[in-house]
Amino acid sequence: MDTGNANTGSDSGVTRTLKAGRTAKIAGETSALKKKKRAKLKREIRAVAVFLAFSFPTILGLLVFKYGMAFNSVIYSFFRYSQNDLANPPGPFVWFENYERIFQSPIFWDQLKNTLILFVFGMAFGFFPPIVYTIFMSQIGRGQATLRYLRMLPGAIPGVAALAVWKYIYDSDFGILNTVVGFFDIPPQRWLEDPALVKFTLRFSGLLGGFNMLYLITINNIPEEIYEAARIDGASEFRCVFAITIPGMSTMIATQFLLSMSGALLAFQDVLVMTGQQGGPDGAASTLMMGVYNRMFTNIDYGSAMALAVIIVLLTCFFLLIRMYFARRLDDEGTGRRNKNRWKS
Amino acid sequence: MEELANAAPEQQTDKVKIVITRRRGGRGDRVFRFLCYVFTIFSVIVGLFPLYWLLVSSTKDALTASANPPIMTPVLPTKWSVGLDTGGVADYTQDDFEYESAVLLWMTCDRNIPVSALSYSTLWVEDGAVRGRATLTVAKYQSQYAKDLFVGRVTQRVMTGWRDSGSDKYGRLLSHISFAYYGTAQALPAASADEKAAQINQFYSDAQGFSGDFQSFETFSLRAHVGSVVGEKSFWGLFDVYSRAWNSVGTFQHSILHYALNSLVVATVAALLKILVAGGAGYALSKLIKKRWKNAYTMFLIIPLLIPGVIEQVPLYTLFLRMGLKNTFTAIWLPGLADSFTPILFRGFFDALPKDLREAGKVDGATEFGIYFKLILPLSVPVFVYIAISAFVGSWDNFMWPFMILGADSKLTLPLIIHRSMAMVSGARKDYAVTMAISVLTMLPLLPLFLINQKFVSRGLVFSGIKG
Repeated sequence: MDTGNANTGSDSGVTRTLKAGRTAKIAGETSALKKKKRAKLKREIRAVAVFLAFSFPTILGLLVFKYGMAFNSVIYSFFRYSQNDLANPPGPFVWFENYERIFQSPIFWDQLKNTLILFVFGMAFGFFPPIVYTIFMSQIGRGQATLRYLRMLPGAIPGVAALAVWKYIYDSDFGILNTVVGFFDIPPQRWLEDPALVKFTLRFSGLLGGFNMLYLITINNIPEEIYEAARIDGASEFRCVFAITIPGMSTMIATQFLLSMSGALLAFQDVLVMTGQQGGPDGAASTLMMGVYNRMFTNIDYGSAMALAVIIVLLTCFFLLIRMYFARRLDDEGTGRRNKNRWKS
Repeated sequence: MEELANAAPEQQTDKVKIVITRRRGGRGDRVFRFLCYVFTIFSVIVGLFPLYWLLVSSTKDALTASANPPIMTPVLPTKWSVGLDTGGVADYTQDDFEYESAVLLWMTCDRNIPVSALSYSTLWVEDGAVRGRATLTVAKYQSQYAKDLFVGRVTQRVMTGWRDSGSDKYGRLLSHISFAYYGTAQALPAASADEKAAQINQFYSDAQGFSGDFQSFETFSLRAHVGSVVGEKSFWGLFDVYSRAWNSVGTFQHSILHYALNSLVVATVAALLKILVAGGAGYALSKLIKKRWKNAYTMFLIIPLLIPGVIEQVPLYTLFLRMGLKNTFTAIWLPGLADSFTPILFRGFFDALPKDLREAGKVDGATEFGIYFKLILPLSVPVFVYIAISAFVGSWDNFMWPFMILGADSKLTLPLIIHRSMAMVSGARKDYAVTMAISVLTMLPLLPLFLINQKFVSRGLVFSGIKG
């Protein structure tokens, strides 16, 4: 940097002599410095080599299977890539034809609608109840550990097995749910075969499941002194929950909301297992991911499957931006304490 | 408050505490706490219901599984024995018994029910004493077996023809029946004629429940006559469905053990790969990386976490298809390398380790690998165990990617088998019991691992870095 400035500087004579002096000095010490430099370089290279030795599988994996594949998806979504092109991908370049076809097909809009409705039901049945369960559980003193253990136990059921159990519970002929609703004088329903009910049914099971340990950890991290202080001020336990516990959880709730939102757009496994490849009666529960899957395996049209995948990712980003916008507005409007480390004093 | 006001200043702190405890015990608070208990216990019971239902359903047979209204508790199934009474029949030989047993065991049921759902054996009864017993040992669906053995429906006449012509088909029929003969005759429980008739009626009504066109024994021409039917409640019959699931699952080509081994191999290798690869990467991220690259590299790791995985699904599939890796476990293990969540988790742990440790190792002249394997690893056993178990459980449960990439029967893993067995459940007689039994078998190995891991989590061993 110094020498670079000197060359363009106005008083070049002075700098030149300075430079000459310095080079002479350097020349005098050349061998020693070079050795030092080389040793340093060697150490640097060594450090990088060690770092790479430890992490190259991860780096390589991420580069190939994440970045590479994402890039691949975006590029190939502009090609008509079908089964015949597997030998030399990606087939003819068709500009935005895949996207056009997706946007013009009514199936896509149905799937988008279904996905969003499933998301709303998922929020109602699967997102907020665990928060309520956890708050109630955190208020319990004696026996909390046992109850927590029992609450987590159903989490050991493998995902597909749990779906199988629920499918049996929902069965329109032998399912127990019809017996249960029978107690309330509701006639038997065809839970998974009724286009009007299937989306509700798919998300209803979230009401019983879903216990999130992270919420409990978060609540336990709230310092006890704050509760003590509130009690001295005369707050009831009930009040404490609303004034301390829930605000204390807000960041975690926001994070989980974000996660479940981006997860909701990818709803696939439960729909596939419970309602089959077509997504229930008349595709009433068919989701966007189902669209990707069917384009991949039924139509064998990889180009348009990738285009749909890109659309899903863009949608996710869109929702993320919306949430970030609202989060910022909330911050600006003076509630501002969120996201700060509020328990630090 | 009055107390506070009256209290001497030096006792004030104690008094405050008293006030706090009083407040805690306030009436509203007590009600609130009680409601919390009630609600939590209720939610726990409701939450446990699917697990209970899974376990109960896995002990049912085809009949109780498709009962309406559903049966809430395990019901001991009845093992039926059909007595072939040969009293007064001349020259009744073992061959006759084998033939007539085969007729009754094979020909009475409609093809589409699992043979063992209605398991009954025939008894050779002579003068009120049992001389032999024949039991069908087929665990598969009869339809599949019938397809293997014969083309089309077999009647007694066809079977007799096979026997008389010495066809090997008759031999194959018999080979699926186990015969036992008793040297010393065993007495049959005495029963009145009315009781015998009632039991036969009960048996027929049960059999009709399994199979709409169950052919009664009188429709066959037998030398012996069906004198009695004895039903016994059998505790071990509760686990019949497990043996059915264990031996073979409907139309699957392999035993469940084969698929369990597949799952085991897939999950074990995935778990080992994960701790090997992600552990090293996390260590490098925590201790080895130069400061100036740290942020960029962390971004490199975090970005893939933000992008939904669907984006790489299709190219990944086509890539493996083109590489000929479809139906190989490699196609499941390879994408597991591209995991940046676990390295970040590991980093949080390694960051908390004391710095002096590495310095000490360096002074002693250890290489970075030496430090990692000899100093860091022994200190990090819990986190490695936690990650390995998580990876194992995650891989054992994994459904979507194997579902796409593993299609061949011999390569299926247990979740895929659950899905397939469920997809085969259709029609009027949905045999959920087998699906439930496979589900339980899939869950059992996970249960201890799951509980160990929950202990890790609740002790805060792993997520100590997470703050609200």
